Amino acid sequence: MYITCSPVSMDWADIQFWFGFLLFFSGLSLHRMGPAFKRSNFGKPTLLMASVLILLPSDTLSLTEENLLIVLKINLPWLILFTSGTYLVLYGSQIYWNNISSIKILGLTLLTVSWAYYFIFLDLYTFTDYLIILFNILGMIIGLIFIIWVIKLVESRTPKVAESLPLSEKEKKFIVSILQRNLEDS
Amino acid sequence: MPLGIHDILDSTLHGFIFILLLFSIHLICSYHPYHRIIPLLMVNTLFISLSFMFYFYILNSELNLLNLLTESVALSIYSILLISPFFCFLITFSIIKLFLRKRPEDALLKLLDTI
Repeated sequence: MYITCSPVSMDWADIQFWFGFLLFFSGLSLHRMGPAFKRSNFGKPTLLMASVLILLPSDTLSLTEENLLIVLKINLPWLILFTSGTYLVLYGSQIYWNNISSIKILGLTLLTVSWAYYFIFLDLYTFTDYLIILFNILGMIIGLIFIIWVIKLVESRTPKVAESLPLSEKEKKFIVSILQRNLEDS
Repeated sequence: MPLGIHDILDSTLHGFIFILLLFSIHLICSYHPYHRIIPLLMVNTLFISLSFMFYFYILNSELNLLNLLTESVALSIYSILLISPFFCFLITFSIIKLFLRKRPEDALLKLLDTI
């Protein structure tokens, strides 16, 4: 599954492949930003561009990149089916008493097809692969714990901001009007 | 083929480096004026450098920096792809629960009627 090779330099196709991943992770971060930051609008186009760069290499890739691309392409159909199914079920579920059952059923069908695809077509890994991956996941968990610790450390040393004043009557009315408008629309 | 301590450390360090790299990218992309990213970036960069040094001097001195980065990302993406069915199973379970449940009346909407 995972073969190590050690090229001294990178070909253009490899650079395109890894630049695609860099854009992909940047796109995810941009997309996760709140609507208050206009940069979040760039999230989806960046993700789309990254997917094109990753999945359509301009030339033959090196061994590590080629293997990764093959595994990605094998996993892509079931992940797309699964994500679409989940989205459709969530979209069709009850939101303020609106329930769209046909969309939910379509979503569940897609979910079932994705699992069928996974169990029929995907049998790539050996026991040693599982062990390597287990320790890799352990490294990621250690990394996450480390990041949480660093954030906690930095936050604890940030000077506290004074407590904000309660909302005035005018502000309360304004917020209620926003809520009413949004809830009536849905 | 049994795994040696070298393989275990190698694999764990790849995962650690991958997460730190992701965090650096996230910090830079999601910068805003109320976010103190300089100390976070400095500590993050320090630990990425320490991980590289540990890798090159103790585990594998033959690899170069580029190989280490690409291998860390490649192995970690493999791992995420392998582990994803377990998360997807949990999501499927929640989706089935969501499919079967009936939503109770919304307390917020009731509250609006009283205002």
